[in-house]
Amino acid sequence: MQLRAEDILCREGEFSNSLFIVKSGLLEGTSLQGNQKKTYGPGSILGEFSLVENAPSTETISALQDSEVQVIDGENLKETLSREPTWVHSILTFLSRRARIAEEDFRTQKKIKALPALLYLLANLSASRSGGKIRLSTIASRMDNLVNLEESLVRELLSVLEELDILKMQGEDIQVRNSKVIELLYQSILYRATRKEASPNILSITEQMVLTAVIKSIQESSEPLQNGNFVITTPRLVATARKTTHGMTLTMRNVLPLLEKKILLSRAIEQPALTTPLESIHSFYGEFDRILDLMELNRIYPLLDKKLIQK
Amino acid sequence: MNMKTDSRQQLIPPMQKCVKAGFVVYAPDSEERCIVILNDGELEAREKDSPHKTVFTMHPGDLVGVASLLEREPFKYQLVASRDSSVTLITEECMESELTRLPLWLLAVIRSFGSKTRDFKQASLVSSVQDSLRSLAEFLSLKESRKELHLQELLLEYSLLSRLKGTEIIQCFKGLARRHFIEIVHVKNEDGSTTDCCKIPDTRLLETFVDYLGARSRDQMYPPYSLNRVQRRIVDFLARHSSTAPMEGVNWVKYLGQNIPEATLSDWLILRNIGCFRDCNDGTAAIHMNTLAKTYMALRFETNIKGVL
Repeated sequence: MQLRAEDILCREGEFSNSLFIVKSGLLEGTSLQGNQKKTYGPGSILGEFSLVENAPSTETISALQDSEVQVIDGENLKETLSREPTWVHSILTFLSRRARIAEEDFRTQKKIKALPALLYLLANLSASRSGGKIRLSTIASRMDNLVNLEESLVRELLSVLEELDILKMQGEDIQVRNSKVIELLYQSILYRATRKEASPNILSITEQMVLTAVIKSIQESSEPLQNGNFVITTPRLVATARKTTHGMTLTMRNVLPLLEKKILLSRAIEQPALTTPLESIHSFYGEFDRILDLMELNRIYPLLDKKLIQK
Repeated sequence: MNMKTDSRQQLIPPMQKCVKAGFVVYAPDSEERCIVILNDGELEAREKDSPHKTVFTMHPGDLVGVASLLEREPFKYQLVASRDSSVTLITEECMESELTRLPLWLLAVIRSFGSKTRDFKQASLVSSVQDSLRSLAEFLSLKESRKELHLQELLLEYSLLSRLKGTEIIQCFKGLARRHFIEIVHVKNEDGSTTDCCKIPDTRLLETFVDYLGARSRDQMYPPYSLNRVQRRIVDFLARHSSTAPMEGVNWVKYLGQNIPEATLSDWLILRNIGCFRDCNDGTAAIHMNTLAKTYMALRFETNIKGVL
């Protein structure tokens, strides 16, 4: 087949069911999925998946200069394979499927690796913008600068975060729900990667149960917060914990990790220890928003890996 | 493989085998590589070491060993018949004799699938960052200006984001320090020891550098460097008078002409086109502070940005 410069050989998404072998000239492949262009010179082959699997073309291929292309269509393949033992076809299908799986794994890996970069950008950009609204084009361009991630994958990552209710996509705008939670999520991933252990902000089930009781106590209390800080008496916390956890008795063992992490602070004369009776502490206090953010972080964190792989 | 050999007489047929349950069809230590196609029955791929855990089960029509035969990838499992089975074994010789019969285009397709798989696997192991200097500048541009940032922590953080090797990251830090976009300072601790810290004089300079590198990667002229001498003087003037109130275009031209006699309407339009002015939707235009600041910095630090120090 002879092509003149700028002629289009096949379009992205179309089913050509053909293999193209470039004999001479130069072709260019462009895709709406990414902003990188590929060029194909003599000897290049294109459309192998299209031929073997009858898959749609992943690129629009056009001639950059006058070119000659050999076309092998699905009928050629069928005819050739009919003369060969059946296992040749099995091997061909296997190889094509294996290449597809490798490509899919590569995309998934790329996306997972790029997540910290996206969280870093979202945390920093949303904190500096009023209302936490960021343009999608800004994020896409900055992700390209930072890790060269194509826009389609940026969109996929953003939709994972949207499913987790971290942000909302509104046309070309991204509305971050709570930039503090994104910052906490980023810091937790960074902590795990650099120190090879879970961040102190990732709480155990017991710690989360105690904090649920704290939140419930505050919500039921008629006392207003003072500069965002709450105070809760120990008897009240013990009673709420029993109610919210269907009978759990709050002990120092349950509360101490939160005191050590300074998520809860106590009005105790001495530094509380495991042997300190809980009743000897008059009350607990802390920053209410911080506790809400931590609980939100602990809701999201365990779901993240699963969501990334699913997508 | 002799591609010119074309003889159907030389075709070595695959081996057909019927095996009883428990028979080891393929052992990983075997010298001979082959593709195993299960025609009937059931095979189990088991780990070669005790307790020989089953990794996967093969059903009629399934095949294994393609990568092992065609690409020399190790096949590490033992294939054992879990029921009486019938298998086809394609040995290296058989495959070679078959490949010589195939048309060249089909061989090219087979090779292409193999090389694509290898390329994707290889690409998964390396960083996706193509321009490490631009990437690091983008990362640092979101940090705080004039703050002493712990260098080791920055290295670790950026390493997580970029997945670049430590040596390459250090080279990039040096590259930015050489351009005076960052400073590496030794901060004395209370105990007398020192800590290496990174200080960014102005993060907007890093943003400008990122924009410049971005334009260069797209083979585009970076707008500030397309400005002529007069336009550069206007930018310099506006940077010192950035609080000037919005006004209509004609008044801007008049105002600029009063201060820089060579300034013309065309100069103002060019500066507006590169974003130094924004429309206020009431017929007037105002200075776009961020773009003006970046344009001013790009001109002031042109040698640093272009790396021709």
